[in-house]
Amino acid sequence: MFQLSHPTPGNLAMAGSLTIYEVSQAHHELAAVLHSESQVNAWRLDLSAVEELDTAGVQLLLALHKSLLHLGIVLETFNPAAAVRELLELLRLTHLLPPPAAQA
Amino acid sequence: MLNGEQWTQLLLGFIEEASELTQQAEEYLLQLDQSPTDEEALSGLFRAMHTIKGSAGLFSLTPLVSFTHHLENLLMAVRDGAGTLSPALISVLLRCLDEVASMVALIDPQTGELPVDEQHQAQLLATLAEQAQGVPGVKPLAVEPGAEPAAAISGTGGAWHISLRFSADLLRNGFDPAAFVRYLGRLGDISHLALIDDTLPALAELDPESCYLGLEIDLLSDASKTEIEDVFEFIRDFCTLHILPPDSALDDYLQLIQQLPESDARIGQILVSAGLLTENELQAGLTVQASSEAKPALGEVLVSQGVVPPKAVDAALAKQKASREKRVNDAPIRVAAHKLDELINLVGELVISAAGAQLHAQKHGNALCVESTQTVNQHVEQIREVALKMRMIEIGDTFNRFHRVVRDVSQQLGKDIRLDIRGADTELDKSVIDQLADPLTHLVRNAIDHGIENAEQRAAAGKPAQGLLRLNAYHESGMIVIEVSDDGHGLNTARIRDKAIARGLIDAQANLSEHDIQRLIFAAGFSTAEAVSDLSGRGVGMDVVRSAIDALRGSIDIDSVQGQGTTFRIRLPLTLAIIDGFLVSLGDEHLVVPLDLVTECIELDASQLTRCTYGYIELRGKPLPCIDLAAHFGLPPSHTVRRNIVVVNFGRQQAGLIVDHLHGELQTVIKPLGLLFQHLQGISGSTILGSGQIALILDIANLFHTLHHSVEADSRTNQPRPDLTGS
Repeated sequence: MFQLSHPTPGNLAMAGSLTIYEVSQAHHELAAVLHSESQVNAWRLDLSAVEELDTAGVQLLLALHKSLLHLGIVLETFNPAAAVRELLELLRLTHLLPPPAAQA
Repeated sequence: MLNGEQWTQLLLGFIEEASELTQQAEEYLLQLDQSPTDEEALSGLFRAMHTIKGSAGLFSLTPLVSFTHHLENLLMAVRDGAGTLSPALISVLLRCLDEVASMVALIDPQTGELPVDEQHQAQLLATLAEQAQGVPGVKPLAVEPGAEPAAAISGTGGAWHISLRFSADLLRNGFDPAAFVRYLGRLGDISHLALIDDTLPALAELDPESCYLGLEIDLLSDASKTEIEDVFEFIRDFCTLHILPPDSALDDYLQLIQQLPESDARIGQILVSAGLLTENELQAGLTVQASSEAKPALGEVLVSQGVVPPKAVDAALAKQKASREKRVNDAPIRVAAHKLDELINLVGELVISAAGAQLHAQKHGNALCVESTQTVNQHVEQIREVALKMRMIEIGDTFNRFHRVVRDVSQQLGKDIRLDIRGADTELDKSVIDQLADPLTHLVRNAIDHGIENAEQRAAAGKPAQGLLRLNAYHESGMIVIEVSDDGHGLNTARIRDKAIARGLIDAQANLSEHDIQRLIFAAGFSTAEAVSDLSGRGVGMDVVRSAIDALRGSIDIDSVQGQGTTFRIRLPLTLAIIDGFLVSLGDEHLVVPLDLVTECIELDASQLTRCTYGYIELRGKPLPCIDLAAHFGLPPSHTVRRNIVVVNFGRQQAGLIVDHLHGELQTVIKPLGLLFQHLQGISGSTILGSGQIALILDIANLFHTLHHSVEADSRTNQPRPDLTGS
């Protein structure tokens, strides 16, 4: 189960699994938000409720990061769940993690 | 995406691989038992455990991973010179391997679940820890399952460089590259890792299930190149893999830069930041290659720069090519046994239909037609031979299993016994080998338990203290002979005779040769062991072995010299799928008698026999029990004037089968009876004749059994008891 919530512009939260089984759905939803929300300065992405993440999920995050960068939008992740932190550290993608000082 | 069935297939593959590895591990361990310093065996053992652990991890078989992890830890410490394997430790390790094997066997290929007896495992590991105390640096129980002994790997300075480019389908096929990175972390320390996402498109163009990624990894490890390659074994088809050993030559790194799809500078920077190249080296190297137009192969660059003489390059290339080709040609292919059976079954059909075609061609008399069907038949013959050969496997693996049996049993009995294996490369049909394991085990245990004396007795008999058990296999005139021999005290014929008389198996006055007395141990219910031990001699003895061999259409014989030893000799047909038969007929019905059981054929003198199903005739002054097959199978009584008797031998018994006509020998493919007919008594299978007619193959063992019963019934009604033992 993957859930993307989008309470206010620029604020998003992911919950559940983000693996090969969910990436299509997640991709679809993220693309829709991206389409409607290209005017904000930053996206704040809450990763605290992500239970499972695999390389397909990471790839999706990377593509999101790339697209946002292209539009001049900053991607700020926060509260990464343990599974997220572990995998992103394993793959040395620390730029997708919040900077150490900003950790909540 | 990997569906359930594919996953099950993969898991089944793992189960097969793991059981093979466990067996290999056991062999290595037994080798270490003989020579504790054998480094090759030690690292082989370590590798086997390591591979099982790694692959089990891919299937999330946690109990297996953590258990093998303890073993691996211990072995690693021993391998690094921290101690040796004491015999006690080897015994515990053997039991641990048993546990690994049983875990592997318990994996449910459908669900991937693995039930374990945690208490038993904890006990084993505790014993292991106790025994391993002599090995410094090992605390098998102190390590958390799954935690990695990264410190145990001594860094050798330089790092391996691993370049991976994944194919788009990788993720869709259920592989997660991160899992392989995690696993790689077990081989050593990942000092540097760069995720290559250069081709990753923006969100709008992204196909989220395709893989756009690559990895550049630097690994500090003393693992071998093969071990690193093996990590990526499962995704070999879904990735391009380059591995450079630590401290490779500059040119190797340059070559890698060239081979990778990304720009030279991009990869170059990764290598520089990993500390594998310096900025200057990179620039110099890239300039050299860039300046030579049309990008010649690296080999040429090296040669033209005078770095390597051209001959050396050629030789190296030729060698690479040759070894690659050899690998392709010699590599065995795993084929499911049932597919081979299917093929052999079809070939069997082909043999039959080709024979039919030839028959028709001969009837027709067209010379060209006859000739071409003959050619077809020759080829079919060849195909059949080749197909049957594919099922042949060497008996060595089965023999090697007995190292363990011999070790365990002799230890239990406090005897010192050496196992000598000969003819390990003799090939035998796989199904025969499978069914041979039990009777062989029985014979081996018997030899150790009853055959070979203990040390004092051996000393008293002037024999070396170490007993010798030999397994030998060889071909002999179309049969396979397997020998189990020991240098023990041989069979005590006087005791066998007494016992046989006591059990009513022979008459007290019977005059039997030594050899005949020895053969009595195969009689049902005969067991010579006076004390029933845990190992053998439970009352079910050699008769069980004999019936198992009979079921394989083989025979067993003994050769025993008192005080010098005993040899059991098993003779088996090369294959179970084909039989040399003797074709007979009853009216319109055709029957096949296994040829090796037929001793002679005689004409039946009608006056000799009373009209009953089971009767006797006199053959050279002795009564020969006979079965009228037509009556036995409920066929219409024969009207043929001249009838024949086929005399068959079964073990030591002899009987006559009364039939109408004799048609002679034929080699034929046995087809099992369908489910419906499996319980038919007296018939063991069927075959199709060239004419398209079905012939039933007689189950001689069963016929003898029936005959025996009717004879016993007769003897109760006061008729003279015929001597079933013939000669």
